Amino acid sequence: MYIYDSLDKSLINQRVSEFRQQVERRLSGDLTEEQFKPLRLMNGLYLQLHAYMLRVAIPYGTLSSDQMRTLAHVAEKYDRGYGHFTTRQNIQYNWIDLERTPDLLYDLSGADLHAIQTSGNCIRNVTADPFAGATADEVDDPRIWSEIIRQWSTLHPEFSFLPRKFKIAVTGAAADRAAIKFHDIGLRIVRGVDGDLGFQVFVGGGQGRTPIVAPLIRPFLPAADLLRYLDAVLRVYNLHGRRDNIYKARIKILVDSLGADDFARQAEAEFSSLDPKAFEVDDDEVKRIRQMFALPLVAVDSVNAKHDSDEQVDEPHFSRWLSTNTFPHKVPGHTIASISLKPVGGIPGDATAVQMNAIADLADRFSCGEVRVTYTQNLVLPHVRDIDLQKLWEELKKNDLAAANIGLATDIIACPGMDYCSLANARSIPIAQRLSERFADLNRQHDIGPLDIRISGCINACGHHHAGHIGILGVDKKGEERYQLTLGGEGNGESAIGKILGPGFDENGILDAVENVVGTYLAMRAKDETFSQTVLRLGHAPFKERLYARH
Amino acid sequence: MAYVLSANRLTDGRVVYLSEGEQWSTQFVEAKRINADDLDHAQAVGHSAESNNLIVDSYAVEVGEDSPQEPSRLRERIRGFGPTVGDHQIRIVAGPEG
Amino acid sequence: MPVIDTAGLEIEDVWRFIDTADVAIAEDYCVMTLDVFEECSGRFDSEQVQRRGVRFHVGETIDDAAPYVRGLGLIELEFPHFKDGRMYSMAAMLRRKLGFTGDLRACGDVLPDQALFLVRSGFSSIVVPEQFSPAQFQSSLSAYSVAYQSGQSGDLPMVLGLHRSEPSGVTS
Repeated sequence: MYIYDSLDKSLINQRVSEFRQQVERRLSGDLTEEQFKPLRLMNGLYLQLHAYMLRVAIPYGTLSSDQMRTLAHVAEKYDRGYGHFTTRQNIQYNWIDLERTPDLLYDLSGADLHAIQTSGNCIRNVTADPFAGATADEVDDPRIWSEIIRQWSTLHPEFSFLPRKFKIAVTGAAADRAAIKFHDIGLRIVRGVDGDLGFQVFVGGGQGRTPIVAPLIRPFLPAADLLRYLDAVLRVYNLHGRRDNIYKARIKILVDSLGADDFARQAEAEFSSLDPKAFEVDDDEVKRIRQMFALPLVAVDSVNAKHDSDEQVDEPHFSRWLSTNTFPHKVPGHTIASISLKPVGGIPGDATAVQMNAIADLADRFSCGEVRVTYTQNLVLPHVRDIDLQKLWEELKKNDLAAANIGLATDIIACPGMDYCSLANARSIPIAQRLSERFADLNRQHDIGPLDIRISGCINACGHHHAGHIGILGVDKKGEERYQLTLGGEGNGESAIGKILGPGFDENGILDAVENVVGTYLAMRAKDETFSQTVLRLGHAPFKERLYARH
Repeated sequence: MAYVLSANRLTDGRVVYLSEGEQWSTQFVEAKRINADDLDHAQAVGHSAESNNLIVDSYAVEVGEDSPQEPSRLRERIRGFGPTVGDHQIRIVAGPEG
Repeated sequence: MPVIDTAGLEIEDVWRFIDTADVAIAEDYCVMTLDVFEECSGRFDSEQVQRRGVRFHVGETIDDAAPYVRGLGLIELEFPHFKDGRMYSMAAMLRRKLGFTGDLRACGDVLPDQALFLVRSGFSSIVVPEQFSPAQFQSSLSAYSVAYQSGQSGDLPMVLGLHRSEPSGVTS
């Protein structure tokens, strides 16, 4: 993975010093809250319902074991012993003091971690396929390009005061495990007709109040032109994005109002006017970065290798975990292993400091010291040898990290909701917990098959409910929490926005509603048909009918 | 209609309530009950505390008629009494199903 | 209000903002809005235009500026609010596309903490708002010795791809 050199380290150290000074000026009153707020936000520090919340960046969702230990240390020293992994591959701490934040950032910097641009109207953390570098189906490792974009976008002088936040996601595979079409810019690495490396560029996707699947704006962008094109798009957005209404200020609104073709033309015109030489990333630099992401592995012959575990006990629970939580690796004898942060009844995406330290140790032991964060709020050990899988699973079990539910009904995405977030209209975590308990039976979950349930506590959709097979949106109806159910979203691979099925429900009602919808699927599915396939085939009508039928 | 005045403390972001003697307490039970007539004055106290860099974002929270008083809105009850979820201790490991 | 250069040092400000075309024609080192300038631009020779300045506001596009920009002595870009970042792009385009080499000055609502962003976007001077001091801007300018996007601050034209600059100022 990318290793910081003296320049990278200097930058984050200087950022810590700058922020320390800014905090002092705020506390002394030299800076008003209005002046301080954008500066604080550009350093990932929110003022939330209960305290300050700090969002620490995990660039393209990749962590070393030492970095994971540092995150655990921060949770213990500066927070209440836990952290929350987010739908943008970052981590959030909920009980932060402003006064201690400079020290916290200093501690983070020791592990090359920071909170730069994890909030504010600037370019945010670039997210990527969590299986990057390990999966066989990628054209190129998206993290190489994500790292290039990260550097280019960090403290960019021209693009630090945009109309609104700006989110970029990159996938290296045809399979989209980074939800690129729900981002302001989504990039898919492809090969051109001559076999040269390039990108499909999608611009103007997003969830929130106005969910939109990003149109393809540039079918093929040569890799050498990546930064020049991003520069052009950002400039058009910076100049023409709306600044009069924060709910209409994202680039998706601009692209939608101009139309994809007109936007593409404007971006192209700006792109053509820029000097290619000024934006080309030096070949040596690309090579330098690429080398850091090189696979740390050699092929292992699993069949003949000695097994590390005491006995390969025929363990049905282990087999079940294998079937849901592991994925094919490009190097023979290896596997990508998912760590579920969705135990039954648990808070989705949360991990205690104890668990984080345990995961760091497991990463060292079983995954070349590397961990990934997924946008579905789970973790991944990307480079596990097949012969180590059972031992790994046993260790995960000891730490309540072995839920065998990846992609199943209890692998729920939920935003922090009204328990934590000042923007929320309803709580989302208790709904996730109750649903998780209702669907706890693994046999039942396997029978249902892949089911993506996503919960947002407000229209900002941080829980990505629009893209859930079943989406739940919490709203406030006359002071009461109310939950709307959407159906038919898709966030894995194909991108689709779910549609509201009908009137909302109270807390118990929404749990019953989800069961009802699942029941309809089970009753009406064709052989081997998944939930989303059935919804696609039948449409919403039968689900709506059965849900709202008079008894 | 009655209120309490709430804000976040600047230094650590903790939720505070205007209490007796124009102090700010982290305990909701110490929040001073404010009648509609006195609201303007209370809000002025809030703005003054903001200018003095003690607190941020002061605002009026409606409370009900019950005793002891409680915020009318769930959101404000959560702000006052804490999240309705999690104790953030290590969970007892459930078993193979995890 | 004091005016500072890219090192944060106060400079003599010879410019005066005026609002009518006849004053613009008569007086050297005057700054005017775009529409006043358009009224009288035809009256300046290439020498005189170096002693004229234009103050742009958000919404005015670079196309409005293009015919005249090259020779101007001063261009001011007024920030309506420190959160409104449009003028950073205006600055970048004036330097790179139109090749403006005169004094590019930031005025209006800017924070000391934005000083480096301003300078690295191409501004060569900053009007220090009343509630701040030149020292605060100067302090902010020295906050970073490295950058990912350009060489030394003050490079003209601005290079804004990925050009990692080392602490010693050597580009890699």
